[in-house]
Amino acid sequence: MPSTIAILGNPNVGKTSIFNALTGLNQSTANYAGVTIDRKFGRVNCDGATGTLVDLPGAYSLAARSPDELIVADVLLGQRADEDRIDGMLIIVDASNLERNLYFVSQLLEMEIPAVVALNMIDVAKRRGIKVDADKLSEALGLPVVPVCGNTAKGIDTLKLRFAKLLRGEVPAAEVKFRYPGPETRAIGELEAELAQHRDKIGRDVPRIEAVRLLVDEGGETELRVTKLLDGGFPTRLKAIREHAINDGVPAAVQEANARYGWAHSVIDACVTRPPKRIRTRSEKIDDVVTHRIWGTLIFAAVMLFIFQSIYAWAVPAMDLIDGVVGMSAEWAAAYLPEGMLQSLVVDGLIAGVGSVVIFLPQILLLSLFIAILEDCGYMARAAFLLDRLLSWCGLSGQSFIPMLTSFACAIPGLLATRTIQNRRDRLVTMLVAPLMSCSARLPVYIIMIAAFVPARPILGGLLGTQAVTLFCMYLLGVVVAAPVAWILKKTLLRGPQPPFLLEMPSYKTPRAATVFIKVYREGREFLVRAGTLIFAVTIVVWALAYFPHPESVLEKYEGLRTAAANEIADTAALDERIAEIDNLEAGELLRGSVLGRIGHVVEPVFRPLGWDWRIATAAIASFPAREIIVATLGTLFNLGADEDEESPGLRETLRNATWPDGTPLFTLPVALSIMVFFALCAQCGATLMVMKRETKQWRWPIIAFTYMTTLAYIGAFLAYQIGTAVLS
Amino acid sequence: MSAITSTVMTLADLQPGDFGTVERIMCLGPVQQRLLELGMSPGVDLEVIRTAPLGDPMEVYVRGFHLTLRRNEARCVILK
Amino acid sequence: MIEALITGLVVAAAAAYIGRSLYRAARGKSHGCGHCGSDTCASEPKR
Repeated sequence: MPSTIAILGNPNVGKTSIFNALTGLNQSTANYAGVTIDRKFGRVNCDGATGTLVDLPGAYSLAARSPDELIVADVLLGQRADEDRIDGMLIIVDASNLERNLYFVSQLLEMEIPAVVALNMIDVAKRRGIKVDADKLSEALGLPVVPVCGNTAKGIDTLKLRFAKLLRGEVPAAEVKFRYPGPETRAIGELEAELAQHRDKIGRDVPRIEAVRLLVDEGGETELRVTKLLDGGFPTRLKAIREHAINDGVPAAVQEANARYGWAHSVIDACVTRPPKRIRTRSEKIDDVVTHRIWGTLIFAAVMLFIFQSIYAWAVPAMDLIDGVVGMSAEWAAAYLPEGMLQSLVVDGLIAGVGSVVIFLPQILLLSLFIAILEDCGYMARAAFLLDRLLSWCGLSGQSFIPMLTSFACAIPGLLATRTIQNRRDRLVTMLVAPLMSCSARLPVYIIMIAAFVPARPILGGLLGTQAVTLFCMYLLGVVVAAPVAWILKKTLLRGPQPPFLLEMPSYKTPRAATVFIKVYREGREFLVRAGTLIFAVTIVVWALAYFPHPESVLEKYEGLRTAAANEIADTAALDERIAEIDNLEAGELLRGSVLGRIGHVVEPVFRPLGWDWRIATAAIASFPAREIIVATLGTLFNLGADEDEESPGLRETLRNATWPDGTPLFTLPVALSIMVFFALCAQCGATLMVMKRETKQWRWPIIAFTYMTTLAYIGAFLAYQIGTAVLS
Repeated sequence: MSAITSTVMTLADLQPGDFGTVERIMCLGPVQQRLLELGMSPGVDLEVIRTAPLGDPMEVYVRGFHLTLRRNEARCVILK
Repeated sequence: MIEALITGLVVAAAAAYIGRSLYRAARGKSHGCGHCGSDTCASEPKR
């Protein structure tokens, strides 16, 4: 029978690199039922033995304060019906920080199942002058210990041999290394007896380890789960038993920490030699600058500005290339397809629509590259440290920082990342404001508007450009709006005390090319898949709505005009000009008469105060399911209404040439700003709202998010246009 | 209240570069347990490394790693 | 005539695809984990 092994450890101990080293590419991911923690597992084949390796979330302790934290203990104790029984554990510990790691190990030993320990980061420990004697550690733990260096794969071969033994069941079970003090042991016994009486109500036996958590973790997730199943008298009895556990005035939680750290300390004394005085690590020296009062803040601002500037400067050649290919394929299609419906579908619909979205691939790749590098090297924890105070002013904690930052890539993983926030109110506030962060889908809208309508002028002696600064301001807008929104939510709908913020500051490490590449690749692939599926489909439908009914009468009318012009005007150049003018009028009348044109004219008055014509309004409405659709829709709408003889100028030029019926330019700087502000603040993402509903299990929250964001977007766009117009005139 | 704060020294009172030894954790519930799990158990030595640019949170070196926490939580850590 | 038929079929297929996507999203079947490619949602939440 093949074995199932769980891989466990504290966060930031290099679990992922060892998991990757053991499973290679045989990995799959799925979700645990009921929670959105990812269930990552891989097939392993070590030294002829095969089995499954399950990656469990990193944890500091088995004490659970959210449903997600309960996963580790539940899977290990076989309490999840959808999971295989765990036959063994691969425990990863950080050699440079063994003491705190051993706290969790001491809890894992109590599982009393076979285990192998990988002593990771021996290189980091060495640099700090810390030497760990693996043999003595093995003796103290009663388990095989393999020193490894996950980043350089040193020691992985030995680990594989040990792991093969674990798979074959040749490793002895872990043993409990210490006993709880007398009163607590007695209290655990009492609680077990109490729980045994209610076996039929709970519906299963409660393992001893779970009973311990129930006793120690006051208000924890185990307590919530068990109390829900039992009668109203149980909390009182639990309280009484907890009183019995108090030893010399010391509550169970403190006793547990004392006992576990006491044991960890004795192990450390036996097998670790530390320098008499702490050696300052490279990480700490870097942090002296990176988290410095002044330098740290400046570096943070510089890093952010650099990212925005390079998105502009570096992506241009690649964008021009894609632009060229799109333009060529449009010309090619126009030349080979007979004039008519099908040609219009391909040229105006597909190529103009999807092409104008695909062109942003280089920017998406660059942005995700920077985010991946910052995530992998450990800078994100520093950013949380620098900015926590700002978050605390609006009633949130640094815990909200990671979800918010993730939302700059996409709000959906941002919403899922809020699961680490234990406090329900804080979690809801974070979820409600996270979609205000400018996600990568907004980038195309910003880029096209800025590139076409914000004049490029150097700032600070050419170090930055007006365009990059405008982009930076758009990103800043979401943050600036999110702060008061969160503050108001914390004062009204979701009132509550300030949550705790405890975050480990991991050592810096060199980002690994493979990890970064995988993230960038996934992001790029997903962008293209969406451009090729949903956006592709929407483009076709928008084209159809903007093309039909395409009445013969209009075509005949303009054909008549053209014939008349040909008869009247003798000069060829003048005739060409006149014909182009007639073509333009024809395209315009056809578009206005289309289904979409008629709908557009009905809604136009609503958007007129924002400076929008019906085409912009329709494009904005069409992009409520997914905001990047606007670029494709604008491409289709303005291409249909444009003179077809013009040498395919790309969306930027098309927009610059667009006019109101009276001939004045449609897009001005205030209009461009108004569109950008609208898109920065609006909840135009069906998927985000669906995830919000699923995560909160109530329709209320997505409805609130949608309402407040759309209102803010309208007001913001209105102000941007009106103030912009007033300032410019 | 002022009498208590003047006689009891907490982690929040330390400046960057200061050392201290934990006596007990005053807060109850999840905050206490979390602090304990992360190594702030009675008798442990710690060093304040720095505070963030805006004065809060602070970074503490304890049991071989760097932990950041807010002054709010630091006030729960009573020192000897 | 053939042209109109092809166009009609393409548009109908696209409309059907959008309808299906919206339906699936409403049923919560495709929530888009991996929708954005970021693996933050596909891995353990970071602390």
